[in-house]
Amino acid sequence: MKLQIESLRPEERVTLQLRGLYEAYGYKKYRMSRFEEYSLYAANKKFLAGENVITFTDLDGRLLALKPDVTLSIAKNTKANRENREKPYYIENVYRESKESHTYKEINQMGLEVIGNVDRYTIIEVLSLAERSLNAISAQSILSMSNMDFVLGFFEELNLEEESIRKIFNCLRKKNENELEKAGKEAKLSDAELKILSKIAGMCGDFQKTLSEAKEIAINNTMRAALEELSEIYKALRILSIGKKIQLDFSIINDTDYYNGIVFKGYVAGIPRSVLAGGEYSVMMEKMGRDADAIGFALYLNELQSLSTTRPLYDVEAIVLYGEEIDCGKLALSVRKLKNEGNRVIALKKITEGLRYEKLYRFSQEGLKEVTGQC
Amino acid sequence: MLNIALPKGRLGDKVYNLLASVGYDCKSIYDDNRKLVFENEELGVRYLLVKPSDVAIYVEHNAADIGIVGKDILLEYEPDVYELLDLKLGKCRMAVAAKSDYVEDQNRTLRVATKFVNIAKEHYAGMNRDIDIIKLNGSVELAPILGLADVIIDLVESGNTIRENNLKVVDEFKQISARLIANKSSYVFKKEEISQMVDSLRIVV
Repeated sequence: MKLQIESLRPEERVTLQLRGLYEAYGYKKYRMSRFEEYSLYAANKKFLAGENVITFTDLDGRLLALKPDVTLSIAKNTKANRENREKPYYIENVYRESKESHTYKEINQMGLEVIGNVDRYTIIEVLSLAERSLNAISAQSILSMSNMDFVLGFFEELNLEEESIRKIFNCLRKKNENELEKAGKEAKLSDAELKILSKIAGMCGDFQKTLSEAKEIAINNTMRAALEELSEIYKALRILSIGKKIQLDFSIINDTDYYNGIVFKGYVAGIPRSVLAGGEYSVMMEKMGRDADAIGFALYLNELQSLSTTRPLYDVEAIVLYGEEIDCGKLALSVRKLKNEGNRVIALKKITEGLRYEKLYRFSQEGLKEVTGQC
Repeated sequence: MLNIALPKGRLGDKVYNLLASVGYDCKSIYDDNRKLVFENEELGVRYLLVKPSDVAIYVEHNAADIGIVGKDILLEYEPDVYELLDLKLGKCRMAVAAKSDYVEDQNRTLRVATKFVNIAKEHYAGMNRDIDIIKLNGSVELAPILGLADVIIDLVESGNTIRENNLKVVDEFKQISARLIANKSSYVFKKEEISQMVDSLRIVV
């Protein structure tokens, strides 16, 4: 058996395939240091998935952290501006707390960013690459997207306090209509406003159907413009024949201190959580004092481990058993011959317990001989 | 096929009856045996009977597409799931209780015994009150009686257990009931089936 791409673990195969894909679209590999100044994360805690970061003091006294995130480092170090665009992609390990085990976990991430001038074509390119990335994992995948300006446009009308908005956003993210009503009443929203909120929570699924539902509740120009943008993007995605793999979901609301505009999440059947997340984060770029827009996504390769793969029937195709006093040169030649025939071969003096093999050979002074009737 | 995690016990029975009443029955569930999985292939539902506190874990990890779980578990563990419907069953309150003659001494750290560590932390953090949490796994009512804690935080349904143990409810701060939750990935791939079930339940609750 030759090493074929199908025999790789899903995360290995996807990494290889996607490197080729991203490079074909002009993205350049960005290799970064494992450490980053802790102050970057202390100032941007809300951007991170969890609050805790592994920190240590370097020999020169600086407080460093093992990277919990890649995008912040790219945004901090980029030289891109509206005239000069950068398109980095990365495959990196990040270190985050696991909520379940209350321990730190190493997470393998792959992703890409476009920093500079982000126009509609760029958004479409990134969305289509996100869809291609999901498709590389499995054909049964869906990219759910939203335009945050639609929801934010609605809140423009409401003049709510930050705490009320936080509560309402949390309910929207959980599609929790009951609590949403409570939070809305606490914030003294009118019945008509509550009705719109509850509709937003439930609006997801087929792109065109959801888009027309959303059009019915758009009450100002920001909301209408957001839907117009979605509609234009969808037209382009349909031309690329990936319209069916894209859904709308207005409950995707990323942190508004960092994200704006188009946001998205990718799901693969059989994997419990979203495996891909991204969006436009021009607000963050502005916060960092950069004159550039940005969009990107990350793929959580660790999640791919929960995909079921068929384990090969055998660990090796052939075992060559040999005894004492043999010609090692001839043995090595016999092993090479079997390997060249497309087998995986192990030469052993004694069969290792639990080793699954297809054929057993015995090597002696007379040469190689297959032992039949055993497995 | 929709996998539904039901909490074993009284709440699970009530929830099953509710689901059966809107057309998701599975007769074999009444069989007297120790099976934990029941399936009605025709209707496309499979019920999994699990420990109530584990329902959210099954759903979060996609071992079940949807599940029915108490709001107390959702508040305590904050699983990453969609909370789609309040079934208005198993209603009770999350409450602070103490000995009937208890008067709070605000000049010292409050000792709180509870099963719900995170709920307790959040409740007192909101008041900026310094507390010590004593995590117990059951018979929480004993803690104030034996002087182990000043107050307890626990679920109160009728209030009988509290009264019988010579305690009083000091504060009720959360309404609890059974909620229908869904795995986020399942919601994308089985949206039609899940929405259909939620819509038919919404009419009867």
